[in-house]
Amino acid sequence: MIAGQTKRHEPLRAYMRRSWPLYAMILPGLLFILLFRYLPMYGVIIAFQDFSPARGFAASRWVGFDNFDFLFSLPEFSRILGNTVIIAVLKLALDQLGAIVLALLINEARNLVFRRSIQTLIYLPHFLSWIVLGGILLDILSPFGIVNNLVRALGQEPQLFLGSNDWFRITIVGSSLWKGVGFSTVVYLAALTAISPTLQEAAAIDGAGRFRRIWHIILPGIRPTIVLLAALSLGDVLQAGFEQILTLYSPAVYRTGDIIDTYVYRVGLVSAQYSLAGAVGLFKSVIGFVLIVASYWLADRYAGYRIL
Amino acid sequence: MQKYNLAVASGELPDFMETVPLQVYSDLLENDLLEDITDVYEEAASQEWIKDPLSFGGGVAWRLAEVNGRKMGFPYIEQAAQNDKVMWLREDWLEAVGMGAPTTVEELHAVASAFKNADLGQGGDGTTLGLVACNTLDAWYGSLDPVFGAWGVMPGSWTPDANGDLEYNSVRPEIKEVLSVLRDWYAEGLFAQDFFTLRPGQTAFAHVGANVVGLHFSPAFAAVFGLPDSVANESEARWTFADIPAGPTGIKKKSWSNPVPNTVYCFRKGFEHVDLVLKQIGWWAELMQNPANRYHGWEGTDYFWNGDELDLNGYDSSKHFFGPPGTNGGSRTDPFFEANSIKYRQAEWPNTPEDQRDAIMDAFLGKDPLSQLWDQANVFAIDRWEHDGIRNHFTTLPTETMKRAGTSLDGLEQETLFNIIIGQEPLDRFDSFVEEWRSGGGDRITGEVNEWYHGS
Amino acid sequence: MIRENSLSSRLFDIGNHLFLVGFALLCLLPLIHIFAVSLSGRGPANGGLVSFWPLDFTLENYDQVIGSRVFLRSLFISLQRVILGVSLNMALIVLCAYPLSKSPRVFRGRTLLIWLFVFAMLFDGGLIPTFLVIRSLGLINKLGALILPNAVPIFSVILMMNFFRDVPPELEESALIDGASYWQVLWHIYLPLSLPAIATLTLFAAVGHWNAWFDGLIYMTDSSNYPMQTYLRTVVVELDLTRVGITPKDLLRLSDRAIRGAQIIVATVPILLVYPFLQRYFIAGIRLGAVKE
Repeated sequence: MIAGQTKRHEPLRAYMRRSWPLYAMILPGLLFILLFRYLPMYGVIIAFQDFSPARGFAASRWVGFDNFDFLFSLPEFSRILGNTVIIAVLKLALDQLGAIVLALLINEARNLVFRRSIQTLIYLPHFLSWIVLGGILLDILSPFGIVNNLVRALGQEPQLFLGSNDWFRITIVGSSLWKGVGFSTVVYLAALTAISPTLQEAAAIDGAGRFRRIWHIILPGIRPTIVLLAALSLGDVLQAGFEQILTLYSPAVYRTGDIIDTYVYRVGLVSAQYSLAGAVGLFKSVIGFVLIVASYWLADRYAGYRIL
Repeated sequence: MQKYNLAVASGELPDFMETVPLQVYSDLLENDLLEDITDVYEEAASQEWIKDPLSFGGGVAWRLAEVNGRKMGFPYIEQAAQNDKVMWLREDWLEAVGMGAPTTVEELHAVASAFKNADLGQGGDGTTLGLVACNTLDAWYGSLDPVFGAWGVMPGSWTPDANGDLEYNSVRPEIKEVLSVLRDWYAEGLFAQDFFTLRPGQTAFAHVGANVVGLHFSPAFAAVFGLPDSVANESEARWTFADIPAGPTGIKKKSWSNPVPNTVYCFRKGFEHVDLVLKQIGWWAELMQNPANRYHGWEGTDYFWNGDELDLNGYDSSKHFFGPPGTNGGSRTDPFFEANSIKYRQAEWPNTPEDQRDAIMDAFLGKDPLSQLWDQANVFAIDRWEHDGIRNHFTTLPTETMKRAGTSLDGLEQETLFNIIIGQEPLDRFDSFVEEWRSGGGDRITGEVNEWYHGS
Repeated sequence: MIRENSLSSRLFDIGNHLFLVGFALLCLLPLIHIFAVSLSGRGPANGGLVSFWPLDFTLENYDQVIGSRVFLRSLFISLQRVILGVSLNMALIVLCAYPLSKSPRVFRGRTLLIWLFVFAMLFDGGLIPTFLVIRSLGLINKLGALILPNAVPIFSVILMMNFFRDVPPELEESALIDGASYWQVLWHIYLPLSLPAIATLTLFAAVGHWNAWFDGLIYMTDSSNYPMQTYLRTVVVELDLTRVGITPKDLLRLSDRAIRGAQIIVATVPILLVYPFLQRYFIAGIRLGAVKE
């Protein structure tokens, strides 16, 4: 009997004699997770309390679902939830799509030095913080910044890219794409290296054109990575990019740019509302978890993938 | 704020807490975690250097630190008029357009338009602005608060109405008049097209430093923040300051900087050495505030000698401050300390014989024109501090409804006011905004605020 | 190497190269901008007059940065953090991912464990309880507070697990038949085949550690223990002057865009040095892939 075909009724002792290393391997990581992720999870009760740091978790007043009621009853709730989902989903979708396309394009460039140089350059923006980039964006997108000067040179009206409700989301999604898409290619490029060149050459000899080769060989080759990343990114549909929006938004664009996180941040300025922040965090986690479980189930049921 | 809450939650309060945010302070008070310093203050605090200076304004210094007659903390005191605005003007531009410093809002508009139309700025063609504004109407730099003040109102402030009740200024009808003026100015291009996306400090670089504007309302310290960049970029730039302009009915008001901000120093319950901390505060206060005893710094700490050369590179300005330990001295016990220092260096220092001066004081006093302008503007603002300020009379923790609805209402207010100014909403939107504000919790807040106001 | 010489294919190649060069330049511009600012005099830098070429060229700003002991110390702390943190991350990623890449029949309890990992990725106890755990372990003001709490980057574990699944199972089966242990299989078969993935995830981990700032702010009560990004953050964000005692010297330090630019450049250089090193491994991975078949 070999490892891959262990029977269910194999005695535990025989199984453990061979398989104990697997448990030994996962043990340290598991301990870290239990200690630093699960142990503090009692903190979610903060969402059901009127938490006061001085009283602590034990003595703070219980308020049931009051914090959630308050969150859902906010006059702006539908607006900030809508903005959050729209911006987050656009970002996730475009970033994934852009990264796949960009990775495929880089993969098509055969000169290794060229590829490496391109890769080095397109990762760069990822390393700059939004505080730094925000300042630069304010500069170049201002009425007399580089971008609007270009717009003028093309005979068009200059635009308030950060100040108008028509442009704000486009600017946010666009700048986020620009910042992150290069680095997002890393995972796909790593996946592309696993596709056998022999198979590709065979296809080329068979006369398959470049696009057919990409479509029939390369894309299926990285499909597991695509599905995995798409499924896991579902956990982020409420993560619209707090730091970026905080750096770039202003009251005039609240209608299109105010998200849950920036709203809660402003609530926090009035008073330290740990409980409300806790309720928001829990709300986002639950939604993310439900979506991941759903996508896991769908992928397993209809596509035969096990993504986890 | 977060750090304090973490310290409080983990049960490890420091013995001495500097600049504690109001919310944390009230949480600590409520849970009896702070030392009552009333008695030790009586014994240990210096009469001349702590008690006397802190009794200014009828004891207003203690508005937060004293609770039910007991001293539960030590006041944080800012300098008088620290953020009060003066009108900064390009003197050379005034000469170029043949005008004088404006004294009314109408003249302000004329001068700003003249600067803009003459396109005197350093940027590309047509980039000159009339007046600085930013994403906060009552900002700490490049503010519009004197324009609102010219109509006697201040967005975000609570002031007594005719009946002696506090009224929220942002919903008063005068605001609509100011908005109508600002809206016209924006349409005329007097403000940067994207002014409402810029943070206050950014305009110091982007507008003032870049020399695209010759007019702004900023505190005295603009002389060393923004103006130096302007002069560095254009050596002919000559700045001056003047009083804020008066409105159509002759009102001349601006935002008032409260010398007792919403923060205190406090002590952990059970801390045994409050007396020592108070003594140290007194020692520093005397060292710095005693006119006979001017602080000249310490050789080896504040300055060094390289042969005959004074070396200030090792100088750390935070050590130059005094105050409760560990605070880097943002606070002084006397709100007029800065004013007194300036008077000293303007009046007495020049008359001190050369051989009695020391190099470090010479270096600190600053002989460059901008530093002198700073001193002059400071004295000017301090002189008008008592009279010209619109004081926000609501000076305590947010009320219950403020905590719940405050963020929504603030958001609504900011969004509406800015969108009216930039023409994305009609002027009459202001009326429906006032209705929304009232029904969305504003009326309840007004009730709560007045309950507190008449109770205290 | 595939050669395609049809006209449309060559046109595609030209277009592709032009596009990639264009996009790469677009990514480079902000850094060039900051670089130009960092080499400019104070006046033009703060006036926003510098675009992509330094005005009033000076090295003074770098002098100031290199001379700042606080900055260098924070840089050193960040380097320590990256080296120790990434080593621990990678060891744990590999050790967790390997058992999890097995089917539940080979590794009993796998289903429960994988959900335990995913759940931990999404749910968070919040700031205060996490702080309390770290404090009770005595990690406040210690490098450990920046390294241990996120010692297991779960997202990376899942990616690594997926790579391990792509390793042909026959290799493992025959090794096990030959009497090898799981340890040996992991070390001698899986690891060599997974170098591209390891290089990639190392980069993820290094970037994560390099850019993290919030934990430094929270767990380091003594600002002399701040890692570089936390320090940069305090310099860049503390532009609000209403709360600080104001002297011209402070203003100079706070408001100086040029010095900030120089700090950002100095902080970015180590990353520029790490890239080529890791990219060499990507290419090694490609060759290995070819041998594999």
